[in-house]
Amino acid sequence: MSGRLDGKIALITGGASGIGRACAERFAEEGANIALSDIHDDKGQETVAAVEALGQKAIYCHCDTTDENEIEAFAQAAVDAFGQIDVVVAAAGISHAGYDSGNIAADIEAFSEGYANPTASALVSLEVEQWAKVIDVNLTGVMLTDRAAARQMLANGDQANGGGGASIINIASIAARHPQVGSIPYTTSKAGVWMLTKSLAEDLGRHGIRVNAIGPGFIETPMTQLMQEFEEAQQPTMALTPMGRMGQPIEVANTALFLASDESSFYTGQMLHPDGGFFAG
Amino acid sequence: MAGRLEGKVAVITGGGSGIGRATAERFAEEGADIVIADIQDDRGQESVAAVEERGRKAIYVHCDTSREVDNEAMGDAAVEAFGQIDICVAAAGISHAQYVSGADPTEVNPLTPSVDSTIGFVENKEVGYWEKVLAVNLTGVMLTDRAVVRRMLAKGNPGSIVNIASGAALLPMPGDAEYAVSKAGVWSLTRTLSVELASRGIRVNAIGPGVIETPMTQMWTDDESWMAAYTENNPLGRLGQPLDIANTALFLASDESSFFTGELLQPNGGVFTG
Repeated sequence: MSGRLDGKIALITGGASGIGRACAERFAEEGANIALSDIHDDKGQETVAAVEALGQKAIYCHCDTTDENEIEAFAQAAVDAFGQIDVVVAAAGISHAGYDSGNIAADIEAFSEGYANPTASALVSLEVEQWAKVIDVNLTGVMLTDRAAARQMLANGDQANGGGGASIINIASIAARHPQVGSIPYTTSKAGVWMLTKSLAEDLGRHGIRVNAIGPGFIETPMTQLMQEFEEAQQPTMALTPMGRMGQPIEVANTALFLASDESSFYTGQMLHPDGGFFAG
Repeated sequence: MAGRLEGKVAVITGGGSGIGRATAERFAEEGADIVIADIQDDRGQESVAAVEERGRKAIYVHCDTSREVDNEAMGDAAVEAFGQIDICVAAAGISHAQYVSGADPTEVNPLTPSVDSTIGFVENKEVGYWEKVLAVNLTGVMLTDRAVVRRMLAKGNPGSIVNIASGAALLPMPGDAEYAVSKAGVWSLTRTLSVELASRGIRVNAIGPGVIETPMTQMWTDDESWMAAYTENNPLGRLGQPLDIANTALFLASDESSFFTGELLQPNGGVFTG
């Protein structure tokens, strides 16, 4: 049986956990080999093992996506290992400046004041370092990832004619459209990813590279631990989610699979929302 | 190998040609049995044959989707033939009041490049034309969805409804306001239905295709200068094919889109990304 990504090479940032790991596993099931990066090396190696257990090849690179040298080295390592890059999933991201995947204490520290004083202005107490950190990881990091991958794709020849086409998938968020669902730097960074996606669709379409985004709703990942642990953190957002549940990483991975495969070959510059109907649009 | 819609039953209106036909064929490849509804009986029967060639079952039902009784009879025929309805693709639609699939009178189509589009401007609009397009494109989709939802709820099975809207749901269409308004209505209907049905296991999404090579876009695709301008402005530089929409419908129909409801997916080659 042939997989829907047979012979494809996927580069995935944030591949150690959550959405990134689910994409790595789902893509491997469909025949792709995976180059993944993260800053959590142990968990990154676990993803490598998961891909290998599914019968595909994987390499892991430690990579801070905000460092252009590291991201260029990661893309080069992917090409050195597998010859080319066909698919990108830019999944590395943070929800606040102190975010540390898997460390719920950091989330409690970041958000407890907001829960205690929901009407207080978040802007007036926002420190520029917090803003800069989130924008750096969530927006500049995605641009650097896309740029490094596009450079390798185009160096490998134009993807439009006989190149088979390539697909870049940026993980944004429903926060790109809805201000209620995250901190000010977070929502702004994700809106930036959305416009970056649209601009890159224009820029790269002629070269056979499609660029789309996924804007997930609330998904059970390390980033939403607070919501999973505390009813008072979950209730307000579930009230806005008609399906009345959080999503699973596989539901985002299946969306990424659609966008990675040739079944979405007429999609570029779009954002898909596996969000349980959040605000119905 | 099990198909992605193995054992599912899909109702497809407008199944005789274009997007509806392609969707019927694609779904059959993935293991679904199909109810084809259309007003063009010969082409509907061709779609039945195409499904059967792929090893699945199909029935054809003559259905004017703007008529309540026709939709209800289609729903009954589907349940009688296959026991239940799992998937609905509401693809029946017209681009203007005098549209006939496969025989578009392009000389009266306000979208035809060689026709002065002001014939269709609102100031010149005949209310009968307006009503006809809304009756088929908007009321027709509501009636189809209603007939299907009634039978899904009666049976208690989960379901996925896919309404074919258009990029015109979000864009102006000078000369053809009724088409744009009808498609915007389909998108709004989709969102409301998605909330009404979310807690009862029925997902409702829409597709807003760009320019797809079907009988409905022939007035454009036959025109060389129109095509040159289109190709110039489209990041992917090509027309969409019915299969592009069928693959989108497959994604929305299958469990792989289990967290999608109330969404509009836009396979349009990047012409509109708002």
